[in-house]
Amino acid sequence: MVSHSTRALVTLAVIGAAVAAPSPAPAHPFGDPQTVVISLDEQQPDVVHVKWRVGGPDDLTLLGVTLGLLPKDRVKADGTVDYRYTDPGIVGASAQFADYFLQRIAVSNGTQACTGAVQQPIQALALKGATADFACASPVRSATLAVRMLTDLNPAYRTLATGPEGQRYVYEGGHDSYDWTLVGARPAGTGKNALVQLTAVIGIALALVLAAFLLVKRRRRVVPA
Amino acid sequence: MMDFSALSDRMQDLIHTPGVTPLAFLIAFLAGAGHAVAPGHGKTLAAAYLAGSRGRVRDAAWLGGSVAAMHTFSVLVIGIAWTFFSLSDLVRMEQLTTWLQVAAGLLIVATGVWMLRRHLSGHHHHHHSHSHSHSHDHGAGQDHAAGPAHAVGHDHTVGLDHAVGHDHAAGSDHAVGHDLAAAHDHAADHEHADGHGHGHDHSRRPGLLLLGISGGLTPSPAAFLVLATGLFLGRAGFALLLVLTFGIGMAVVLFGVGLLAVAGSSLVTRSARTFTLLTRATKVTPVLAASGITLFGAGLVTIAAVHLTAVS
Repeated sequence: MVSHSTRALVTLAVIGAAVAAPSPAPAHPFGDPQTVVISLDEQQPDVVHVKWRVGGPDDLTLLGVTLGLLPKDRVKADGTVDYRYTDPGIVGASAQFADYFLQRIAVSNGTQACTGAVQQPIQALALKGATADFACASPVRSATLAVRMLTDLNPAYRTLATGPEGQRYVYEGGHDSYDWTLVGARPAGTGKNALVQLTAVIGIALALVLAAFLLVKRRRRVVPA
Repeated sequence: MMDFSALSDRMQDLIHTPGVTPLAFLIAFLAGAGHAVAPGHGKTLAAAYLAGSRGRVRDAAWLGGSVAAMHTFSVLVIGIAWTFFSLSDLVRMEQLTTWLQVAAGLLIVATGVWMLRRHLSGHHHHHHSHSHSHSHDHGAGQDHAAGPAHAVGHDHTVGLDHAVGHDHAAGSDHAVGHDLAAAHDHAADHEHADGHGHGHDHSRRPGLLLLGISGGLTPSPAAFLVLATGLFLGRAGFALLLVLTFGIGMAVVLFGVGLLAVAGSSLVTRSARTFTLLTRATKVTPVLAASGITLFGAGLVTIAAVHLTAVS
């Protein structure tokens, strides 16, 4: 005799397939990661450029709400954000955003802090990001860049940063400062390094899958069902 | 209740911590399982598909495995393109993942339509005589006598379970020791499912693979971030291992859901031979499942398309 629970299970599965909602958008702060690019000005050796770009545009909405530029009800009680396509423009045009940028991103040349100014006007903040010029007291060969963007909103925000010659670093809570070589950096070789590591892991994984497959096949031949 | 965003966060921390710890793999596994438990990751689809196609345990494993493989591949390709080939200059990640959701939805629709067509054509040609040669050599130990109508020219239902990839003629493993007497019940509504190691499950695999690919196509943001972080920190190998483990966590959940569906549907099917009502129910279930899957896919495409207009 078939159990009612079993029938219910199958029925539920079928009905569930028809009515279940697809997954919601990725929750903060685990969407597209924010990025930073550090470079030295080609004409002025004492000026460092830092370009920041947000991960998801709705991160800008969250920031706009925090800076008082957007109404609070744009962030729902469950943490979801009501993003509108005008949000990046509102945030980018505000003085609050420029101040916030310079509070959360800092450059120092040795012990001396460099003076930052955000390039204006900021256009297409979500797409192209914003850049600040940091003028240092003397020509820069290496600089310390501190990045704490958005970590005040949620400490889990991370920033993936790139510098000259393929240098890379990940900023996160507890790792918010890093020294970059801006002149005379040797190629970091992260691409080659990654290729070797990934090939090794993929090779081993494929070998294991193949071995398991052959083992199962051999067992099937040897052991009669 | 376990907080899976905390798990994802912990996973990111561990990629930054020197050394390779077993804890990292445990967390990656749990994060993957948690990701699959969250709504909308193909569990209901998997269950519906396996119930609708009268799947077996092996099919559930195929489904879980294909999701894990596809997810790892997807994260790897997007992670490398994002890190080394300036993918983000070409397309925003949100747009890319939304396009992938459209593709995943279309794959689901294709699976649903394929199931519907297969089932409907199977019913219409239920007694179509399928003229494949059954020339395999039944070796010792096979009790052929008890298997009714297994002579030359038996009725195979084209398009039900035999249609794709069923290779009787070309020297398949058919001769190797399977017990035709155990459950080879051609008379009773052509059921091959119960304990009959025949290789008929090949016919379910195109659908299973489509669902698997669809389930793993859109990368989990947490897994993507782990790989990107690993690539940035020069720990690509470790990061990929974590992504693989994350995929295995997803696969185990989907496999578990698949097992429940398989157990449920095979119990119903077995009992259906006794009860007329249930016989009807099991005939309707595949149609319901196929329709449900098609509707789900259409819904997914619609929602992703609406979202696409918002993010583009």
